[in-house]
Amino acid sequence: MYRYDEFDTTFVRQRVDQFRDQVDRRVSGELTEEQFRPLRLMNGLYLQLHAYMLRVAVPYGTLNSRQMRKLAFIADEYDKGYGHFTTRQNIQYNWPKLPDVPNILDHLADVEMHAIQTSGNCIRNVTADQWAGAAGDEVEDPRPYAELMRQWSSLHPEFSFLPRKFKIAVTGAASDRAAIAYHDIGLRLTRSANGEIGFEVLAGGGMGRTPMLGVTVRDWLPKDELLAYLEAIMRVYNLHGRRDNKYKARIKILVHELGAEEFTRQVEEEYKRIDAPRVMPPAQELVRIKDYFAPPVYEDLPDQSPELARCMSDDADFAQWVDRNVVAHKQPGYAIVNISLKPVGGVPGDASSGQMRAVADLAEQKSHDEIRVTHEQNLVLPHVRKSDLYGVWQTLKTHGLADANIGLATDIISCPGLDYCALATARSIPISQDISRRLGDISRQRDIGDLKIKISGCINACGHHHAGHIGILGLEKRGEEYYQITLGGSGDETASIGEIIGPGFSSETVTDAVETIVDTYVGLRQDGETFLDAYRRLGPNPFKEAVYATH
Amino acid sequence: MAKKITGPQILTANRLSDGMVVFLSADGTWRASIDAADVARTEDSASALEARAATFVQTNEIVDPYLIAVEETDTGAVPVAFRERRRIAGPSVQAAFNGQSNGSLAFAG
Amino acid sequence: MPLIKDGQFVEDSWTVLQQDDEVPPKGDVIVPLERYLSDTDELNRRVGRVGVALENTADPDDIAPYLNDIDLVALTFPAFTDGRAYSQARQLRHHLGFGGELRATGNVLADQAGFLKQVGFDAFEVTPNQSIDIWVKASEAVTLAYQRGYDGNRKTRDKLRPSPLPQHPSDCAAVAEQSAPA
Ligand code: HEM
Ligand code: SF4
Repeated sequence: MYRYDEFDTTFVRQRVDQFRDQVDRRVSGELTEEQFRPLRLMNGLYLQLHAYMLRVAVPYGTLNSRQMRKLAFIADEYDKGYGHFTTRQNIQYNWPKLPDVPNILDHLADVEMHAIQTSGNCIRNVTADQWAGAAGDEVEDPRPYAELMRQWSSLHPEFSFLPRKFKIAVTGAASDRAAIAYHDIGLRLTRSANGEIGFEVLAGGGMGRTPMLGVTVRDWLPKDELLAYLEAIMRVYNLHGRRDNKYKARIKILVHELGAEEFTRQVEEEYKRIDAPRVMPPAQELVRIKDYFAPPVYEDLPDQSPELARCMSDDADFAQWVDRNVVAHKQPGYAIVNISLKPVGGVPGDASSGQMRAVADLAEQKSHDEIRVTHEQNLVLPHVRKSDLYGVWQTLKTHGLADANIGLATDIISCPGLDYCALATARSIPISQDISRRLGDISRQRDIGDLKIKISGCINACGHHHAGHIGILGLEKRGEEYYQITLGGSGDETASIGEIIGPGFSSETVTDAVETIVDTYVGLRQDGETFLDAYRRLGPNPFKEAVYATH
Repeated sequence: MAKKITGPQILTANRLSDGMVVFLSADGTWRASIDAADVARTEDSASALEARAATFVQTNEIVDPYLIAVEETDTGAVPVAFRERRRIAGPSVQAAFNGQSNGSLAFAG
Repeated sequence: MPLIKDGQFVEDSWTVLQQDDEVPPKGDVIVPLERYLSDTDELNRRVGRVGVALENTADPDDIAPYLNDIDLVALTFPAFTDGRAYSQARQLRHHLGFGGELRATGNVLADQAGFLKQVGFDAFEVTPNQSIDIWVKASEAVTLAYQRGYDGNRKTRDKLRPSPLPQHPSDCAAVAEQSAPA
């Protein structure tokens, strides 16, 4: 993992002091709310429905045990004992008090964390594949580049007042677990025809009111040109992105209005004028960063673990958990453990301080001190010995963290919705809980198989509903919440945008509708066909007929 | 210019220090409970509420004040807008954690 | 409007003219781009320096041919959240090599000062009643920058990290690097 050097430490401390001063000036009245709002937002501090909300960056979703314990400490000391892990791999606290926030930031700085640019019209926390460095299918670990971009984007002098927020995701694998097509810029490490590794660069993806998939602006970019090329894209966007209408201000609209070809031409034109060697870090800088991401010292182990095999045959619950939550590691004898934060009927993504500490302990003892946060609002222990899996599972069980539902119907993404969010039009968490209870029986879930249900409480789409196999969008009409359903969305390498199936449903009937959709799939699927495959084969009609016939 | 209103109004804001939802009461203080909220039934009194709230913006006690339409019931004023009812009620969900939490999960106020 | 340069308020010698204002016979004037383009020769020939004010939608390339004659470019922030002029500044300084005064006008607040300097602004027209102490403090709150190749005096990592001490006196490269002007 990356470790701060003196430069990073000083930088983050200065930023905390700067924010402390801004808070002081706000409290004393030197700054009006209007002036303070963009400043607090640039430090991840929102004013929500009932209180402030602080969003803390978890750069590319990577944490160590000390950091996780600090997050637990903050939850206890300054909040109500829990935190909410988000689809952007961050954590949100729902109840901080304004004068406490600089102190919280100081605590975070103690463990090399911050809240810089977790909000505002700037480059947000860069996200990455949660299995980076552990998965077998990557051409290269994307984290050093994510870290390079984290540094480069922090307090960027030119790109801190963009037309709108800006999100970058990077993956090194063929299987896209970072939803790069749904980002303002998506990056994929890939090999050129002659085997050299570089980036495929996508731009113009996004969700919100007008969901769009990013288009490829460069098939292949030499790795060491990354920052200069990003500067070109950012500059074209900063100068020409629309500022007259907040809903048309994202880069996706610019790319769409100019057309992919013209946008690309402008970027390449700008790129030619950039003095790349001046902008790019010296080669030794990337080497320095890469050193931190060297693989942990693995033991030389046989790939098969007799203990694991024995425990799986003795304990069916454990076997089920291994089947869903544990995936292959590139190192023989090791595995990647996915920890579900989706107990049946729970709040998706919430973790108590006790759970955070439990995960921190496990990471320290069993996973080379590493934890990841996933964009599906779960946690990961990336490097666990197969022979340790049974013990890890038992510990998780005692903390309510052993649900064997990764990728299943109850592994639902949900934004905070109208239970917390000031922009919401409807609640989303209670709907996710209701669906989770309805479909919660584990053998039923296993029979249904891979299914991504994603819920947002308003058109902003923080819950990724456009990318849900079943997407749910909460809206309001005449004082009643109602829910629009989309089908066929996907955020992976076959990315697609879900299509609205018809009129919305009330909060009482939306769960029935989801169940009908699921049952329709089960009735129509062919051998081994997942929900998404079946939908792509069948189209929306059988689902529409079933849903609107019965409701 | 008098405020155009369609029914009784109360004035709400968030407290600067902790962001908590507050209401302007008849005695001129900000209260967490809607029960104490001063109800304006005329356009002039609604404007007067807004003017009073503005002075508390100046003194940095509250932020984002605005009027909300209420229905006056036997048990007191109830916001007309769904969003405002939710805003006052607080989160409708309790963090569950399968009963394993070591932290306090109190949802006060 | 009060003008800040080098961390203090200074006298402003420049007169800002609108499109149709009469040009005074001498003295420094700032004119809108349109005016400059229509009266280029007249403006360049008169006694006194000439500056050009660009809207934040203008393309700096439009004045590229004249930059030797232009002593000042004024860029504007209609709202401090509208950051187009940061990129215009960068293009003027780096693509076009403009070396004259680059002036920030409009909604210019202390909390932006650090960023403004880094993209190459060196004069700041601020709203009245700003305190110079707050300005200086805010502009120096952060002394480090991750981005290379920008202006201002924030230090980048390679500048901050002490270069390794020369192993022996003949390590000229390291000595030269240490004594090079910042
Ligand atoms: C609770 C306070 C939140 C507020 C006020 C908020 C606000 C917004 C807004 C305004 C947008 C739309 C931006 C646009 O289309 O221009 C948005 C998009 C988004 N937010 Fe949030 N959000 C919140 C919480 C969250 C949470 C908890 C998550 C993660 C679970 C999240 C992740 C996202 C994502 C992934 C998008 C879509 C990105 C895109 O449009 O491309 N947000 N948010
Ligand atoms: S989707 Fe809407 S309701 Fe949900 S968190 Fe985002 S802004 Fe709030």
